[in-house]
Amino acid sequence: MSAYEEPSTWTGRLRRSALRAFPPDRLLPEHQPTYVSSWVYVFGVLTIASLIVVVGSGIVLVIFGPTWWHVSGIGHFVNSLHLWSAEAFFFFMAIHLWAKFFMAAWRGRRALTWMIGAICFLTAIATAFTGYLSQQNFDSQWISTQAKDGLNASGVGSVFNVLNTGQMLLWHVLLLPLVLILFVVIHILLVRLRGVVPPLPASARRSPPKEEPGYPSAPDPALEWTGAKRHYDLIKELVVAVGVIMLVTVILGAVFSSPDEKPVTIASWANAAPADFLSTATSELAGTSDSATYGPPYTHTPGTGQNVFDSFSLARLAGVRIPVDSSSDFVLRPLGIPGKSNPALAAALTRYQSASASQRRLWMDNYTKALGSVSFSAGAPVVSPGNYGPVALMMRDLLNQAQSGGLDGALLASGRFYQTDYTKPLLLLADGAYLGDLAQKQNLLGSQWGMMNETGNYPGQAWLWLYTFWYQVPPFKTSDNADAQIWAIMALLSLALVCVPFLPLIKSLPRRLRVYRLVWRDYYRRVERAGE
Amino acid sequence: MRVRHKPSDCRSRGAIRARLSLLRASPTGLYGVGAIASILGGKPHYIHFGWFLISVANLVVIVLMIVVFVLALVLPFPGGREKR
Repeated sequence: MSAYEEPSTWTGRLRRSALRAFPPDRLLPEHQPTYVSSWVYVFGVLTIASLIVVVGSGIVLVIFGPTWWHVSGIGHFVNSLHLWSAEAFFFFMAIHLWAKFFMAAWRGRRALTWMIGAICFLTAIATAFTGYLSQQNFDSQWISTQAKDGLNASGVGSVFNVLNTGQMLLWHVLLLPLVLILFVVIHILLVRLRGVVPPLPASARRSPPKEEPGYPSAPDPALEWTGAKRHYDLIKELVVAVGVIMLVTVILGAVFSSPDEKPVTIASWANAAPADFLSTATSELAGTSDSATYGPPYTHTPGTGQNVFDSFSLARLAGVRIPVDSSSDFVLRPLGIPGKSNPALAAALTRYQSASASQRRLWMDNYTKALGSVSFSAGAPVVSPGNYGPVALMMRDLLNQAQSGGLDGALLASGRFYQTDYTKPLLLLADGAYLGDLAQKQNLLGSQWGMMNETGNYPGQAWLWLYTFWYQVPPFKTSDNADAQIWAIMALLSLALVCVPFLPLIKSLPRRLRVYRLVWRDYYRRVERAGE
Repeated sequence: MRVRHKPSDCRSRGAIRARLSLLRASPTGLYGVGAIASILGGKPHYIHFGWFLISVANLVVIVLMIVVFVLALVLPFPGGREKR
């Protein structure tokens, strides 16, 4: 009688291979090698604990919606928990990464574990970055208008539009956390599969004359540890770590809160700095503003699009995917709304649109010059008499529309009921000087290492220090192609971080720096004592 | 840290209303801690060396990371029961 053979189904194969790779006692061990006896080992679990608090507080924010935390004390407190747990996550992840580097933790078929860990770090940066963009306050306005240049220069901006708040919010609450959690789970499974990397050989030159069986002097990192082990409670450690992080973030959130500078609206801009608004709107109508001449992904402007090297431009390769017509989108179309009930404005618009290009240019040039000495009477702009055609009336009515809040709505209107894409109002705001002046007061400019700063005295995105560093040094400091070149450098450096286990010079550094002697000092002491 | 009040502040209805409004105004919703939150929300502090500029808050975080890492390296780790 033949023995019973299990049917070879896909499900059965998957179960058997999963059980072979991860038997329950390997997945949830109660013992670990005795060399795991240093505080540096706690940073991995503290990172995971922080991630759990980040996800938990994020879920509460998602339940109540994106505006809740701006209008509710409890919501603001939950946002503070989210911010401080994210700070804790990066804090512990960076230390975990340093520790693993100094331990050369990629040895013994653990390169993939390192690589997935590095990808987790990079994914976390993208996740946190989209979080900053989704705040819907001044900080997110400024970060998005500045970050667009780097992303557009790399060609990514044509798909990943940082000015589209709805798109960024979805990336932040769904896609990126999903990817991050998936990579973290793979990273943890790989750690369980390969085990914690054993110490580097006690002596590079020779083995000690005697060895204690529990403490081999040169453990093979590719083989399972057969030396001494100690009792260990993985789940208890995680639960305690989550408790500690919860406590720390509750204290930090309660004491320090979180920043929430009110966003600038077109109305607040037009009321606070009407001359700046008028000159910006005039440059939009004339087609001379930054947005009007930006190039890909917004406009087909010849000679635009930053080059990575020579004339190779990823921005031009990606093309114009988010078309913007500054005169129509920022001035003529919005003015068409009040124009329906204002015959004088309707006539002015008709006159402007039916005029020849040279005639329009003359009016615009005259009006732009006159704005240099504009004054305001009862809120209306007053310029010296001149040949402005219908432009003076159009600009006066546009200022009225902006000051009353009508332009905020008009720039968002797209013929659909729900609006989540803020590309146009943010581009218009960024073209003016008002937003930049406010950012300068907060030290958020590129020349002020602005990408890593936060409003007020809050810690910011310190993990962007290397990115923002390049903008401070020549030749990038003065390069017209700085964004494209710095993005290329950062892409290469990110790839290098992922590939550390394969970079000859870098991967030999831990042995030379000998920081690992501190991590595994108890183990080396035992090995040396046995050899005496 | 709690904001201290004179005992007489707490007697009148006006004082109680003022305390309630402080509670509502606190960005954390927690009484007394709004004062500390306003320190971080106030005028930013920066350290400037030539072309290098860093906010005090970012510097504190980075220094704290290094200190925690060094402490983790040098502090003795409590031993557990050993099993061969």
